[in-house]
Amino acid sequence: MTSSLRLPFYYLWIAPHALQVIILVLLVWRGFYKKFPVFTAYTAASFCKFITLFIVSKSLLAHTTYFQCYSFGVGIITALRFGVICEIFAHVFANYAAVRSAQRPLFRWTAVAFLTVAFSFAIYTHRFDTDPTWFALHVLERSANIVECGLILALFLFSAYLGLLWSRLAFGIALGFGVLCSLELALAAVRSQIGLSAHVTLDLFDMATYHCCVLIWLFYLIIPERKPLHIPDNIPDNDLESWNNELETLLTR
Amino acid sequence: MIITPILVLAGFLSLAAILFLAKGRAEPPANLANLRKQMQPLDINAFRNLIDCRDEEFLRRALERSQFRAVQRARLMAAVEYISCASRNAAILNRFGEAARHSPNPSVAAAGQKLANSAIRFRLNALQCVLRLRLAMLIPGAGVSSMSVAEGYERMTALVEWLGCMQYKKPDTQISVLPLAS
Repeated sequence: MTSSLRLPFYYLWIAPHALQVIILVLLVWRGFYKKFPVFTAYTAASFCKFITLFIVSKSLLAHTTYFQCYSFGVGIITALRFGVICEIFAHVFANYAAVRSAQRPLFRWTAVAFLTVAFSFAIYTHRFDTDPTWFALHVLERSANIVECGLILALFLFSAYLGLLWSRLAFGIALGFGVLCSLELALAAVRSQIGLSAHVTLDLFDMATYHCCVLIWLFYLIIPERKPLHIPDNIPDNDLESWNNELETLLTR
Repeated sequence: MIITPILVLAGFLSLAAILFLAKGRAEPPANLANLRKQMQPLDINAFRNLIDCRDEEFLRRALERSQFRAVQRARLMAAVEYISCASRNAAILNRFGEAARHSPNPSVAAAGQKLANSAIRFRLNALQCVLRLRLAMLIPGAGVSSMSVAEGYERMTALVEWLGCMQYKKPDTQISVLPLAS
């Protein structure tokens, strides 16, 4: 790595995780950890992964140790990401009894469909001049990104069509993950082909993406929940019972 | 090697789609009166006639096969148009219901919740019905029952009328405050 890239590299590596500590503090302080326990766990795990990898990279441990730590971290983070997406699904559908029954089938069948796509792509991907272990890991990461991306896209499409309203934080988390998964999908696809030849550039792009996503999460965590501008509050005196009867008549017509 | 550009393109397209959908995220309405004006009146009885199985049977017997197919296709296309229009109205009703949900008055809030749920259920039913009707256009013999759409729409209309009457204090307001189901 050239000296000119060293500063941005370390900034993009450290800054998002420093911000994640703030996110973690805010999640606990404002009680959001109760509503989003998996996202809280994901933030904590992500920070732990960073600390571990940072220490390992600065120590004299072998390359294989770094790979083992990295692949273990990726496994944990990927599992937690699916958990976060599942959590967002639950939050979006929670307010709507009419579509609550559609939550699990939508999640399940979208996951199955995109898993099939990811599996097909994995089968037909050939390794070029890349390290076989890193290649396998990148293909697995790419497959997970395809499924995550598909799930988030399906959730956005479904809720946009039906006009479901989201809470600010759920929306922010979903938007952050949507941006992250989409760009990581593109990156993982490139990584699985070119290997280490342009890894610094790809790493910078990857870390910049993550930085943006962390900023999105932080932004939606800080800003207050927006209330509608016009809430009907001046309900006049009325004969509710009579109207209820009218309503029932209409309903049974 | 072709997989890499496909996935890179898919990644960027997915990002664009997510950002587009996020930008257009439904927000509670700013002006309820304007929302009411955007609603289009629909004749639910005309829609019922279009999807009536007895009418279909009558046409099948009365017309030649080719004529029947053409007529039936036109009827189904009209039914799809009705559902699409009703679905747009349901989207507006959903926003109306969402705004009412935030009311400090529990009865208005409960009615808003009910309306939002009805509108969402209607949009879900409408999506399925449009798919079935389009399938029936391809296979004219396929039976189509869209009565749940009509019933759902009626219930939703009744709810929004009730809400409107409670909010705008019009003692003489009748059920036909909105010309949805004439």
